[in-house]
Amino acid sequence: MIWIETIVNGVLYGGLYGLLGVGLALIVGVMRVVNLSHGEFIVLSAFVGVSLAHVMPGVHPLILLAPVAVIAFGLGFGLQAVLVNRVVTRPDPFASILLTFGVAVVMRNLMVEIFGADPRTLPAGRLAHASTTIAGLSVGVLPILILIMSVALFTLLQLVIMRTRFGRIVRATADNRDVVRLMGVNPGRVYNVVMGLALALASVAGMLLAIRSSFTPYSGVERLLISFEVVVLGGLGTFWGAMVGGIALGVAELVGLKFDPNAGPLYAHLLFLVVVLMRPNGLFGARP
Amino acid sequence: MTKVSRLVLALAGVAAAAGPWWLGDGPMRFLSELFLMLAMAQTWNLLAGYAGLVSMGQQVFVGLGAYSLFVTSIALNLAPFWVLPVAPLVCAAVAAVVALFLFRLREAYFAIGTWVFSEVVSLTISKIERLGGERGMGLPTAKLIDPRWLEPLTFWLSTATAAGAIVGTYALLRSRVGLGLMTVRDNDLAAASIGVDVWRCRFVAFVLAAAGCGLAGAVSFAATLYAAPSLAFDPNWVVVMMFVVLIGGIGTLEGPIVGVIIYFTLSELVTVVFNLSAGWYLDHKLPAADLYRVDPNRLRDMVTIVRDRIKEYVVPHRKRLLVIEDNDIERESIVELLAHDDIEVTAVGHDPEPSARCPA
Repeated sequence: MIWIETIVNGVLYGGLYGLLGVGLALIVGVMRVVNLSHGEFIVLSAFVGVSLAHVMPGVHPLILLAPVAVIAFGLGFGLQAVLVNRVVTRPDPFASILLTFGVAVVMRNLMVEIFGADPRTLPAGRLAHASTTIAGLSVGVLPILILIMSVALFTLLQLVIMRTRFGRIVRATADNRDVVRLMGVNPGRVYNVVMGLALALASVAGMLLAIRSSFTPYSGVERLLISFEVVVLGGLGTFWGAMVGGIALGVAELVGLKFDPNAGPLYAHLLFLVVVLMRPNGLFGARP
Repeated sequence: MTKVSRLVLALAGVAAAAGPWWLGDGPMRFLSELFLMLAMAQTWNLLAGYAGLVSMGQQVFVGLGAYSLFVTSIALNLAPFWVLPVAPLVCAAVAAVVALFLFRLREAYFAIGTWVFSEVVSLTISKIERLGGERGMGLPTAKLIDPRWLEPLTFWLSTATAAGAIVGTYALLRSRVGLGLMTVRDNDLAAASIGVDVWRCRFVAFVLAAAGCGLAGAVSFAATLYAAPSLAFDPNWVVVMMFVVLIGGIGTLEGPIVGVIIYFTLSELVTVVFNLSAGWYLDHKLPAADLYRVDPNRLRDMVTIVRDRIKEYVVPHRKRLLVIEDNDIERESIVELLAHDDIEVTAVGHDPEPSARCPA
C-alpha cells in the first residue's frame, strides 16, 4: 500500500516537474533558444512570492500565484525585448547560450546581494500538511491541487497554441520567421510574448516547488537541470512529452527516496539515462 | 617555426620555470588557477569546436581526476604529485566506457546526457562513506611534500598542463584523426561519405579531452588539499570552460587563451576594483585578500591590449593567389571557382619572372 501511495505522490509531484520544463520546451520549440537563465527565473519568482507573502501576511500563497505569474510574464517580455531578440537571429546557436548564461550569473549574484544566501521556503499554512483519503490511500491535498493546476495549465497552453489565432502565429513563426514577416507578423514581438508565457509558467512551478522544498539563490542550477531533463526525456519540442517526462522523473525520485533515503534525485537521473539511451530522441521525439 | 618564435617560447619557458622566484605568492596562485582553467577550456574547445560534441558534463572528469588522485595517493601513502598520472588514466578509461553509451545521443540530448551522467557520479560518490560522503575528503599525504614546495610545484604543474593541452590539441589536429575531426565538425554526413570514421574521431577526441580535464582537475584539487562532491562536480566548471571558449573564439587554438584572459580580467575587475563579493566562481577558490592589488591604470591597459587582440582576430586576412594557366577559358573558370571575399586572385597566361610572383 505504501508503494502505491509513493507512486501516486510521485505522479502528483511530477506534474510540477513537467510544469518546470514546459516553458523551456516552448522557447526551444519556437525560437531555438536554450535559455540558461530559466532556473534563475524559477528561483527569482519564488523569492518574489516570499516577499509578497511577507508584505501581505493574510493572503494565501496560492492566491499570490497570479501576481507572481504576471510579474514573471513582464520580466520575460522585457528580457526578450531588451536582450535576447538582439541575438536570436544570429545563425550561431552559442550567442543566445552565452547571453542567457550571463543573465543567469548576474541574477544569481543580485539575488545573493538582495535576499541573502539562507535557505527559504514559502509557508503555506495548514494546506502544506493537509491530507485526504481517496480509495484507502492517504494523499496530500496540496499535491492534488498542484497536479490539477499543472494539467489545467498544460491543457490551456495546448489550446492556446493549437486553437487560437495567436497560437497559429506562434507556430508559423516557429516554422519560418522570415516568411511570417511577409504576412505582417513581427517575429520579435511574438518572441516577447512567448518568453513571457514561458517564464510565467515556470514562475507558477517555482512558487509551488518553494512550498514543498527549500531554495537558495544557488538553486537555479538544480532547477535548470530538472527542466532540461523533463524536456529531453519527453522529446524536444513536445508539450505532453514534457508532462509525461516530468511525471516519470517525479515517480522515480520519490520511489528511490523510499528505499534509499539519502539518494536525492539519483534515481530520477538514472531513469533519465536509461530511457534516453534506449530511445535517443526522448519518449515522444520525432525520429531524425 | 621561426627563430623569433623559438626564442620567445624558450624565454617563456624559462620565465615559467623561474616563476616561483620572481612572482609573489598571490600572483603565482592566480596564474595556477588561470593555467588550469586554460587547460580545461582547451579540452572543451577540442570537443565542441572540433569534434562537434557539446558536453555540459565535463565537470565529471574534473571531479573524477581529483578523487582518483586523492584515493590513490592515500591508499599508496605516496605524495600526491607522484601519482598524478592516475587521474588522466582513470578519466580516459571512464570516458572510453561511457562514450559507448552516450555517443548514441546527439546534440542537446548529448549535452544533457553528459550533465546527468556527471550528477549521477557526484550523487553516488556523496553516498560512499569511505570517500567522506557529502563532507568530502582531505589529502593527508600532502604532508609528504615540503610545504614550501607545494605552491611552486602546483604552479609548474599548472603551467605544464596548460602548455600540454595547447600543444597536444595542436598535434592532434595535425594528425589523421585531427583532419578527420575538422571534416566531422563541418559536416558529419559528408565526412562519413568520404570514408572518415566519424565515430572513431569523436571517440579519440572525447577520451583525450577527458584525460586533459582530469589532469587539470587533479592538480587543482591537490593544491587545495580538499575535495567534496559539491565542489569537484560543480557544473560551474563546465560553465566557465564554455564561457572562456565562446568568448575567446570557439574552434580556434588561441580562442581559449584570449577567453581565459578576458574571463580572469573581468573577475578581477569585479572582485578587486569594484570590491564586490560577486566573484561567484573565485570566491570559493581564491580568498580575495590573497589577490595582488591591481593598479586601475594597469588594468585599463590590460583591457585595451585584450581589446586590440580581439580586433586583430576580427579583421579578415586576405589570401593572395597566383593562377598560371595558358588556356584562357580554363583560367577564367578557375578564377570564377576560387573567387571569394577573402581571396585575391591574380591570373596570368604564362609563368612570370619569379620577382613578379605573389609572396606566398
